[in-house]
Amino acid sequence: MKESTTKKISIAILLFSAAIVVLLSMGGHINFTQAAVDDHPEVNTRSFYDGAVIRLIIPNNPGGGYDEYGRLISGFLERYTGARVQLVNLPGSGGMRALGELFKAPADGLTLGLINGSGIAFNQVAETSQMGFEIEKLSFIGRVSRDIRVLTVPAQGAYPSFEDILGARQALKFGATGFGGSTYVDAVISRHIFNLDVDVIHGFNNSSAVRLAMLSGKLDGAWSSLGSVSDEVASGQFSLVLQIGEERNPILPGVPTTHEFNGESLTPDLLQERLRIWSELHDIGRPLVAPPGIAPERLAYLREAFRLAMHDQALINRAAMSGRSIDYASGEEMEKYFEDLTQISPEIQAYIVESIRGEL
Amino acid sequence: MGILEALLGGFAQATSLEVLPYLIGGAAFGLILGVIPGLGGHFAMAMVIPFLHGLSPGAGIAFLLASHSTVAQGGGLTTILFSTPGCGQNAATLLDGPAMRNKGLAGKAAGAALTACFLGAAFGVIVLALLIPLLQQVVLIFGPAEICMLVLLALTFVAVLGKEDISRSLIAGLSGLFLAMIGLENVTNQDRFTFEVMALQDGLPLVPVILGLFAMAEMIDLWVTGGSLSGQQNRQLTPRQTQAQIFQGVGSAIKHWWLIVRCSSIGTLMGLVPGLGSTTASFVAYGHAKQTSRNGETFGEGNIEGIIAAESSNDAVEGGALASTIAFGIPGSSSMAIVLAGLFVLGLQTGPVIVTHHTDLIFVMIFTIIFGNLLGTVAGMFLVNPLVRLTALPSSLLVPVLMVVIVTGGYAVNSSVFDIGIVVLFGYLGYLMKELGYSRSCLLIGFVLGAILEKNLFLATQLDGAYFFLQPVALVLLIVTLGFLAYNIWSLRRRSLSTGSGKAGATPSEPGADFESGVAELNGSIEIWFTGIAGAAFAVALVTALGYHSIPARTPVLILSVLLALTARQFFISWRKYRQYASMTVLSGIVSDYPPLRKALQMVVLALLLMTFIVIAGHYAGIALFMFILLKLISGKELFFSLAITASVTLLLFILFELVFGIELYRGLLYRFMAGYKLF
Repeated sequence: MKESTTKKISIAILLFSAAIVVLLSMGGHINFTQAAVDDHPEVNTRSFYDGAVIRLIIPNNPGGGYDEYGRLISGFLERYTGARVQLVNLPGSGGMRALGELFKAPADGLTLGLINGSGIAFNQVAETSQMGFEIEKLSFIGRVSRDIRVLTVPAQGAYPSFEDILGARQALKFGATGFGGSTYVDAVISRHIFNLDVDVIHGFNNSSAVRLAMLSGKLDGAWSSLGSVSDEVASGQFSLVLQIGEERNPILPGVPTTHEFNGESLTPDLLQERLRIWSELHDIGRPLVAPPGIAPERLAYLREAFRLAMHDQALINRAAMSGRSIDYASGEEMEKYFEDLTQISPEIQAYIVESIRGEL
Repeated sequence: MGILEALLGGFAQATSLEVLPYLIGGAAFGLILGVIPGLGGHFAMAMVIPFLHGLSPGAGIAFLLASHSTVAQGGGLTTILFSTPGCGQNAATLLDGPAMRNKGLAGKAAGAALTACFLGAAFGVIVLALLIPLLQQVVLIFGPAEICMLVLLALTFVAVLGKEDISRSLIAGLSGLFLAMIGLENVTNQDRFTFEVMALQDGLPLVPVILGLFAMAEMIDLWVTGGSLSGQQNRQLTPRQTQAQIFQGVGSAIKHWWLIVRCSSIGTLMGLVPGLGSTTASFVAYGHAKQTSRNGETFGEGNIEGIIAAESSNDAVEGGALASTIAFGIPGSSSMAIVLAGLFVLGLQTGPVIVTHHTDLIFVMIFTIIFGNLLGTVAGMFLVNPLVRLTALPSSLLVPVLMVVIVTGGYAVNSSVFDIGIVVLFGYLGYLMKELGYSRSCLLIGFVLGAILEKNLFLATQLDGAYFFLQPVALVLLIVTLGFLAYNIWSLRRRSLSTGSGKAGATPSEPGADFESGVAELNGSIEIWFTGIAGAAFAVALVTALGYHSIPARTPVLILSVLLALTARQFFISWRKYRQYASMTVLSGIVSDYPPLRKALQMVVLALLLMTFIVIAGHYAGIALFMFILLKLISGKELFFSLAITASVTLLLFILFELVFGIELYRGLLYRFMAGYKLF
């Protein structure tokens, strides 16, 4: 009896101290590195990252699109930074929750995040629902991918080309998900620029529901990202009739661009300006960012590591295998995109606002 | 390739030595995940995806789908044995599972649940196999108009589930519909009832709501009533008895084969429709079983048919859900989106090509789900015995540990501390509802279906015009719904006439009337407060909703108007009867006089403490402190015993979540402040 009590006590003490050690070491880890930085600001960046833990913030749940990109790049970021990369999924509020964490996190270069740059940029221009975040102040590491936006129609439908849509005799129905989302805004802008007779039916739960409605003949078309329909296009269920951009994307040589058609109601200058800003907003894509104000040498280090990672043949192969398109752009280029946005003309700004509100 | 050829090819692959180990590994992983509350099949598959690179298609599919298919079985076991449904799909099992456990029939309930799960899953995929030639046409039947009508039909099951007390059940169901309105409305982007809280923009999170409403509420109840989960001590089952019971359970599931066929059909149909999912399916199947059973009156008191209905339908959903994923390569749910991502990693082109060129792989999926479930059932049966023994542990030990596990699962779903608050809040709400006789199932059905109904109603009118319900399939569903409703109203009237009171349907049963004297008065007085506060909240919400534009305002205004009227009526009924006791719940006097109430209030304070600890000191320190306080200070356990339990549970959760699943639990404001985070 006595022996078993002693045994119990020793097991209890052992377990408890083990738990304490684990918890302390977990909490202490970042603090140690933090202290090291404060005491020796000249410490070599490479040795700072060696063995450190980078938290990579993902704005959706495991299994979501950003999560897949996060898991894709994390191993390669580890290889080129020397740090361990831990994914932290913070889903919610259309990415605003993850963005909030990026603005709260310390600017020590140990917190990174993937963000929906295009969506945020649209809202930035329209000055809506940004929760007061000044996006251009983020430290841009580079771009992981960008969506190629395409107008999709059912392959067996009555309007197999954009010319057919332009010449349609009756009102068409384009499907969209949420109000002010990209499928919605693209539909509204294209309707306005090309003077289409289109009802935008929005409120679908997700893009899958839109596509099923197209297949059942309830909808005539919908905007989407190439990535989400490429499989179904390959299998002959949908056709692509238009892509956003000035030049045809090399992987879509047969699909005309928005710049190839003239909007009848607009002067050429105004048309060009609107088409340009529309495609530029989509070019921002999905950047990798860090909190505002991280030290220049660490930013440079992270940018270089990211550049090497994105050009690693193994990453490129793996992305291709997972069906995820990658499209690298440097941190400097991303800064430039956001700088351009601050110089946007009031007319264009008003135009974007109207498109998000569906008032065009 | 011909269907028969594909079937044989699929079978050969699924049973080959190259594939089988992955099938077994996936099934084991899913079963373990199912036991942990909060993390469902969705998460299991997301975890598996990175390991698919380099696997053959057959092995990869087996690994992926097996991990998804056994989650419901693990969850079914914990629902019956510990009253903690892992996810929504097991919530309906809670209605009869724990009641059977309390009667000393835990083994029988578990045996029946596991068998029903397996048979339901098998049924679902067999239907899928039979549908292969017609898959595309079947999937396209369900557009917004048809979904609307199907949701309406499902909602009428509120009437069956709560027909003993139609007034309270309607209040619960409408409250569920109202709660579904919280968040950003996606037609106009109007923030509804969010009070500028960002975390509410996406609406109340489903899994934490379920965990709170059912699992947490049961823990509070257990804490208040004391004792152990297995009921009276002398009912503790021996391993041999348990074994015998499991086989009895298997036998009674097989005996109810016709019920399984019907409930599995409901599950498969619900699976075909995007968005409805297994939670709805299991409650509708439960309602159907109750409606058609000769022993309908004993549902909720430990009727094995209730368990069989719920568990057979929740796994049959999978067969239906796979249909649209396979037919078009378009996922019907987030889980199916992960299946598609997995198929892509395996180098398979999805969509119609898979139906025409890789039919054998569809059969690998089908056999994986059948074998995976069979494995889960057999392995689950071996788990029953050790788990049953745990139910004999006293509540003073089980409640702290299970509460901590529930809260951890609630956090892990969205990595959100806010969700822990939701679990706790809905825990209290669920406990009160249980005590006062408001159906939690009705609230959950309303909550799950409310948003789907509103969205699809809007889309149906946009796509098909105001008379969308006159389209063939929608019209048939509408007629079925009206017929069903009429039958239920008629049977209610008949019942009320035969009892002679003439208004039994309208008069609520007395809350807690079967308890010892004094409890009815206490519950009556609590109900005055409950309906009073709820009514005031609904009134405020109604005024708020009237300030919105017409599209976002119309649904909540309609729901709230009816809800407010019903709640007011209920308030006056309780007020008339119990007003002299209304002051009883005002803390004084009664707190010391009546231990259950004191313990319930104690739990309110303790759960608030738990949340505060977690927010300030972080998840691990928070749960450790909470467990220690409950074990040592409140239940008076030995110091070392309390320390050992606290340390080992905390450590186990740390290993499981941080190291195995890679989920970072909340570090707490204190830590964040020290690490240089801005706090707000």
